[in-house]
Amino acid sequence: MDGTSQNPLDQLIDELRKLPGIGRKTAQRLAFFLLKMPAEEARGLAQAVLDVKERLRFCRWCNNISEEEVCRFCADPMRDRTRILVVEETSILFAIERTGEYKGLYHVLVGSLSPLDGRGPADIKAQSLLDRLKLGETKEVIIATNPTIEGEATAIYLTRLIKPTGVKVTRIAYGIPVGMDLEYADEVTLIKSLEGRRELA
Amino acid sequence: MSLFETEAIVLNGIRLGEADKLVTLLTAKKGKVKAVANGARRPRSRFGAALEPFTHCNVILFEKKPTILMRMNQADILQPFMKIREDLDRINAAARMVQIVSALLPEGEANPEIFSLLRTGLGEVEKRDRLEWLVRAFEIRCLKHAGYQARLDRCLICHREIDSIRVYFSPMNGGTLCGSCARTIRDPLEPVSPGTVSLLRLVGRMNWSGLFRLKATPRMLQEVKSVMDAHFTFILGRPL
Ligand SMILES: [Zn+2]
Ligand SMILES: [Zn+2]
Repeated sequence: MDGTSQNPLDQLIDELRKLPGIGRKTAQRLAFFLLKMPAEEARGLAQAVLDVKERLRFCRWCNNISEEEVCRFCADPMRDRTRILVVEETSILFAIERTGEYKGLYHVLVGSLSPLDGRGPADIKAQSLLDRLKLGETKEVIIATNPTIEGEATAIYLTRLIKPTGVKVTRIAYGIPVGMDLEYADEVTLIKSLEGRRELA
Repeated sequence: MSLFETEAIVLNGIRLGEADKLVTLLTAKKGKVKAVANGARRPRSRFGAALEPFTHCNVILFEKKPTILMRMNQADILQPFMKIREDLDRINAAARMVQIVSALLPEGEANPEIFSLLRTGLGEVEKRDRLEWLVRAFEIRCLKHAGYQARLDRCLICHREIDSIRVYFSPMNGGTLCGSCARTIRDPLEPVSPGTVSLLRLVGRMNWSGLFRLKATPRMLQEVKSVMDAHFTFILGRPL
């Protein structure tokens, strides 16, 4: 043994450990599960991994993940083109899409500003959002960044950037999670929900 | 094994696993510590907004062994400093303060002066407009309490009082040199005006309200910034 060639099982365990949230024990468990899997299923999984790398790219308009140059939302003539909802990551776009309530377009920033980690405006796709606004179709930009310091910094930055274009900027409401007892909410969450209150008809 | 309760300021937090957070805190009792907050990213987490950076809170931490990461059992907000989060310049100023404290302090050593400096400093970020001056003053005072106070009254080499027009700051030696001694050494030096030197001296012994009565010209501010940047780079071995 020259020490560089590893047996395939150890190699699989090492690869699985690179995934977020996977420690050694979980990686081992997954590796043994894959080992017992029918060959056909294993091939399907491997192919799916390759496909996302080889067949997917970022939509040229909104940076959503897409098989085509333009993603299915941007290409859909039935969607409301006067609204753009801005998210940090594609996973949030999917979460909002699952609600079935939003019919407008999206814009994925692929990141956020982080004053604590030195991530600045160059690290997010904000310029392409401005370019889209210049086309003149948009009436409202809805900012749906996380209620974290990174999300706040990103929202403030975008607002500053968009204001001069005259397009209306709104931000989704933050506050009490549905099903929670108000008594247990912390003061920041309570203040945010007060700020986001609305009139009842 | 021990459970302890302390006031703390959240310096930073990173995502850990599916729903947890690894939080860096400046605690009053044990200085800088890292702790795992299980489930902190779940919507109905018991930690709520308490673990966002800059929050002053009361925490209960569980330390199994000094070699194992602490676990956070509870966090209650004392001061959320919410006004900081409404303005990008304020966020940046607070972020700079927190980064300095993180970089300068070792883990596990209590430093009551720096704890109180950061807590009151964040309060100032919420209400002051001279943010650059505030951050510079914070840096000077933070270095002092971390044990790196610059010596600014005399020349480090010949010990004569600093009174000439040409004064230099030596980041390696953490103090001032007179013009003639500066010529004799080869370390990198920052030229500073005597006005800046006296400003640096004053800041070290003043409280926040006193500091905001001091006036600094843009040139002095620039000199203070160069001096502090060079000093930090030397202390940390990298630019901050
Ligand atoms: Zn698209
Ligand atoms: Zn001298």
